[in-house]
Amino acid sequence: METQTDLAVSAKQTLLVVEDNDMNREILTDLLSDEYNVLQAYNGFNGLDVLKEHYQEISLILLDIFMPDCNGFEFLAHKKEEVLYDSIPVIVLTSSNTVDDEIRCLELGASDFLAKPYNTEVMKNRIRSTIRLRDASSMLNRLEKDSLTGLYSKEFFNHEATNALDQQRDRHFDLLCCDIENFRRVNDRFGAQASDEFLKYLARRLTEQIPGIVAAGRMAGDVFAVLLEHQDLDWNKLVNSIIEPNQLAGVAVKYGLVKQVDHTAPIRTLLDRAIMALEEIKGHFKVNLAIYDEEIHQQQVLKQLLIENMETSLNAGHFHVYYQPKHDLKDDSIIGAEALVRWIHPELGFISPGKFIPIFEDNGFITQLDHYVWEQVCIEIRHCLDIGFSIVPISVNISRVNFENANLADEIISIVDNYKIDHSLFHIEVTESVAHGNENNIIGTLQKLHDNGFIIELDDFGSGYSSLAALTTLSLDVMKLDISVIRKASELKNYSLVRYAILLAESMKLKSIAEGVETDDQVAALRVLGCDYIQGHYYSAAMPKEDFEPYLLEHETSRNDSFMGRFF
Amino acid sequence: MTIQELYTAIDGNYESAKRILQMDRLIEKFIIRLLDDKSFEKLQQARQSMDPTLLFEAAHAMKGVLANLGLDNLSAMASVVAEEFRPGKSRTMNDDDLNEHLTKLAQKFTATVQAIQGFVNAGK
Repeated sequence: METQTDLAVSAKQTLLVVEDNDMNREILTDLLSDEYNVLQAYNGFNGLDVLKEHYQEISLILLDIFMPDCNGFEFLAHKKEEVLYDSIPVIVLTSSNTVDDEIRCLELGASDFLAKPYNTEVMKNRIRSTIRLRDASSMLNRLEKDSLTGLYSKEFFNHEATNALDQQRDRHFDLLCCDIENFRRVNDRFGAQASDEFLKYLARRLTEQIPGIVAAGRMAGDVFAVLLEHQDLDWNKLVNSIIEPNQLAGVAVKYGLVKQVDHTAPIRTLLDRAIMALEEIKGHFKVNLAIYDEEIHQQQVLKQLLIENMETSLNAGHFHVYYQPKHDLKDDSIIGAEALVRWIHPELGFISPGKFIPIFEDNGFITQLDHYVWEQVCIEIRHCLDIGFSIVPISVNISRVNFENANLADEIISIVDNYKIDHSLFHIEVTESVAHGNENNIIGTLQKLHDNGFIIELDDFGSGYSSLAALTTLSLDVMKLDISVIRKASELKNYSLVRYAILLAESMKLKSIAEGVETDDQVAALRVLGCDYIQGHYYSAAMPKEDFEPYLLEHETSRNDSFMGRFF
Repeated sequence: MTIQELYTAIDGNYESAKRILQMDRLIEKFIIRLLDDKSFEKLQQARQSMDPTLLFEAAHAMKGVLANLGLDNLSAMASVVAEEFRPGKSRTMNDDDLNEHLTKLAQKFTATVQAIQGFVNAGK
């Protein structure tokens, strides 16, 4: 039975009665305690104390106006200062009925009045309807506001921003977005609670520091947007003042700004622009603000253009496979080539892989393009074999996204078998960054390919966070030293890093290939250090198959033994 | 004596008491509580000092309490005093009239309290 009572009690809403006269307070309490939990306060100060402690549970306040010490007006004025109390309605109990007092109470935020002596039924109904109204508006409020930070929700921000842009065409607005760099890592490192606190802090600082805010919203986990009136501000100074020193150590917030936004563009486009600007500076230590400008705009236009053209280009054969030879340092003979994709568009001209590959990796088109390249390479190898050229092994790149495909190994085997090509002629290049992804799948796929006679080359070694774990867990045959490692060594005239990398490769029974080799000095150094093979302009740039075939013929004479067995 | 009979005896308005307190149980409980209420005492003290603020506060409180109990006529008499001393308003009565009014109020209140006390004693 006690459980039932508890339930009944906990289901009741709570009222606060602030009234100085003991008897009146007791009467109200007696009348209302059937329906509500009633908290009592004997004057305004006492009422504020009770409010401070219980504001989360109080649904409504009944307030007497004339009280000694702290009267109802003072109580209302104090209550108004605290936003946490905003949603608690106040019904003022008044016996005076003077219009001045009522206006003053309304100005101070009272919801309603009840004249003393009250009709109890009327009072109860008034209380019920006021609470209902409050509950309904707080539901609306919940949709409008992000519950963690108190900023607008994404939908409400978009709504408000769109309205402002639509209705105030003669005014200029700026849009600022911010994003916490590597927020997931912040979460892992400091815990969910500290991360939430930081989000709240960031939201508060944004609204405190940025002048002329029209709307501020939380757009995603760690993405905030602020629409403000356009002003000439020292934006660098401003964004650097938002996070005060001694906040979460090492956490960087990046800001993207669109100045004087285009009123006719949808808010989503404007947000994209701000985000695009801030993406530009991710990973750049100390650079916290990027302003969307003509250059970023052009990049966006180009990106859009490339995405629009990618599929037709693939079907029309505008993607070309180029071959860059790999040579043996001992006798200069050609021992292989890397297949590289080039996009030559009839109108856009030559498009750099540095531009389109990251876009295709983002949107997933890279898997189609990779397949296309593998197929083209097989066709070329088959062609060379058919016309009696002594072809060398060709390596192809496999992008990280491909490893999400559990059938990858089978698909590659099937393509190569389809052209009746010996697996050893088809080399596979993976970058060390693939090892940071879905590791088991990658390890398994490479293992399977390796077991089936494919040669696996680890690309770009030394370019990023080199993982020694990748060297031991992946089934590798070749280590390709990144172009940047060679360039740096050459610049500093210090090859110690290159030497250690080659020693590492040797100790793991991997062949070493230096990429991006251009000068005699580099070749001389690499030869001394015992590097096995070289790829780079020193021998040849990547070339189309029309040039590659004669190149093969030309160098065939220098090859004195079987190309197939040359690697191992 | 029933509670309704008491109300008749003390010139109370039982209907308005019922409108507020809803149940005879509560009317009885609170009419008896009037014996402990301090607002009349405070009004008497304020009358000694003739401090307008104290007079207003005491009369205002008394008016409220009496109204809640349905003692409408007595409440109206307290209200006259409260309005006379309402902050920001100028006085309308001369001191003699006021004194006469306060005396009548005291007499009526004392008689009411005595009747209630009698009601309590009879019940015991």
